[in-house]
Amino acid sequence: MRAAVRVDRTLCYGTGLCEAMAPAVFSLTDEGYAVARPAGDRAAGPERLREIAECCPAGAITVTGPGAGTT
Amino acid sequence: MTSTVAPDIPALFTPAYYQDPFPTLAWLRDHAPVHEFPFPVGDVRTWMVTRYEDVRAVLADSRFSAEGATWGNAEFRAAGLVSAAGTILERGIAVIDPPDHPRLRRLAMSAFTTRRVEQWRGTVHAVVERALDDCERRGAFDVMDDYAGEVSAGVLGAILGFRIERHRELVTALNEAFPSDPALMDRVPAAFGRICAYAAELIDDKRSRPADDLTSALIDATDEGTRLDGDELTGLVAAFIMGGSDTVRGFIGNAALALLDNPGQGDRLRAQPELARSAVEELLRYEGALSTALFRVTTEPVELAGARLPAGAPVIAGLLAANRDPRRFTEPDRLNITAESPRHVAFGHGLHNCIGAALARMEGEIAIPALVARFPTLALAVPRDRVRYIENWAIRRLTSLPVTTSTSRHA
Ligand code: HEM
Ligand code: SF4
Repeated sequence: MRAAVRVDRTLCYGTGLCEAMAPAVFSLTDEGYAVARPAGDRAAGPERLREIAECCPAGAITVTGPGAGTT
Repeated sequence: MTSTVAPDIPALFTPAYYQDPFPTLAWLRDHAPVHEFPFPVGDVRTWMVTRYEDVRAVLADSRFSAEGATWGNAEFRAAGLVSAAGTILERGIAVIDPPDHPRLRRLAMSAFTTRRVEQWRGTVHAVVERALDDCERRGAFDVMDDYAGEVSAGVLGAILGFRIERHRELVTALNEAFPSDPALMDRVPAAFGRICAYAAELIDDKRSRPADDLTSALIDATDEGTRLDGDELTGLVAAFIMGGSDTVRGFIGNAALALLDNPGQGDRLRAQPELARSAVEELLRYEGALSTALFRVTTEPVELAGARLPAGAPVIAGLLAANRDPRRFTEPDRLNITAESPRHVAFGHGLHNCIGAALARMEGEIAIPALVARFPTLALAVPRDRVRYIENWAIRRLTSLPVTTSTSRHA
């Protein structure tokens, strides 16, 4: 099992930070919120995903699964 | 190449532009969305970006680096435009690229998420009430110094754990750190140096006497091996001081003026304080505290909206211009505190988007409605044309905003 990544769009500010850090994992929708791309979590390791989650100003990104720790 | 705008419109970063930048920004959006001009300091070839889409694109694209020291061309560096050159802030969070940036950012961010800033709500309320009581006693007061300045410095001081009497010194240092007058460039390094020295002093103080504040918490986190060295820690505290004081002060002042200029909107907010959240978003869009982001520099030749930029080119993302772009916002020059507008860029975009945004929003959502609620007949104490903006290319704030209140009890 891989780490799984999820964006809570009710929290997301649409800052585009996650997309700038990992465009293969995240993208901004037309309404300006981030979504995790389907199977995008394959494109980055758990530590990288966790780093991005911790840089997000809204605490909107959750990483779960092996090696992901608790975020 | 266009280096000037139309004859009847002020050129960028001239005295007339600072007092009313909107005609210039509108002209640029329409006629030269990626506008080459000589930056007033050193006449360095610089590109100003004014459309919403392009501003977001620049701030999200890694070919536009925040590291002027690394990627800026010789001309840019020789003119002294590398921010904080020669101090530890030269490697500060706002002006570094990955992989260093996320390493610093994740530690810094942990203190400022929406959830974490909730712990300071009581502090913000207390500081706001104290400042309002003081203003009420004065009767007539200056929104910038007596209210916005007290709130921004009081909150930041309480959070970082610093002594308030140092604030005015810091405000002077901040103003000298971002001049637009070429004659004042020589004071920049000293101003950055003073801010860093103050941060270092604060950290020393907290090392010997830890307290329940953010500085002490950052020291603990650093000591627990977060791969942050001493200079980086000092730089982070200095960045909070630089980023979190004058911006909030400027924003509260701009918001107060916007509500005085649009009394219907002020009345609406007074009657419906639950509009605070959308009002603050709209006020940030309408006139946030930063009219531009910090310099970006191209790491390679880039084509942007039809313009060709060489490698090492300084680029300025026009946040205020983007927030007034009619291509993105309906009636952007009208203040409407109930508007559900698309996301503004007053806090920037991409990697370097504002770390303090949740705190700044909370301060605004408390301080702005409280000001109009406390003083229902708040009015300008000077003619409107005497209200002036500072002459700074990046920071947009008033020099002062003198007001009167009906509850005046003149001593
Ligand atoms: C209304 C108030 C504020 C406004 C308008 C504002 C605006 C901004 C903007 C536009 C940026 C991005 C600059 C760029 O991309 O070059 C930024 C970054 C930053 N801000 Fe704020 N800010 C405000 C309040 C605060 C507060 C309260 C703090 C901290 C206590 C803060 C700390 C920072 C830091 C550390 C950065 C750099 C982030 C990074 O590079 O990752 N700001 N701010
Ligand atoms: S970094 Fe966080 S707030 Fe910004 S777009 Fe991504 S999920 Fe949203």
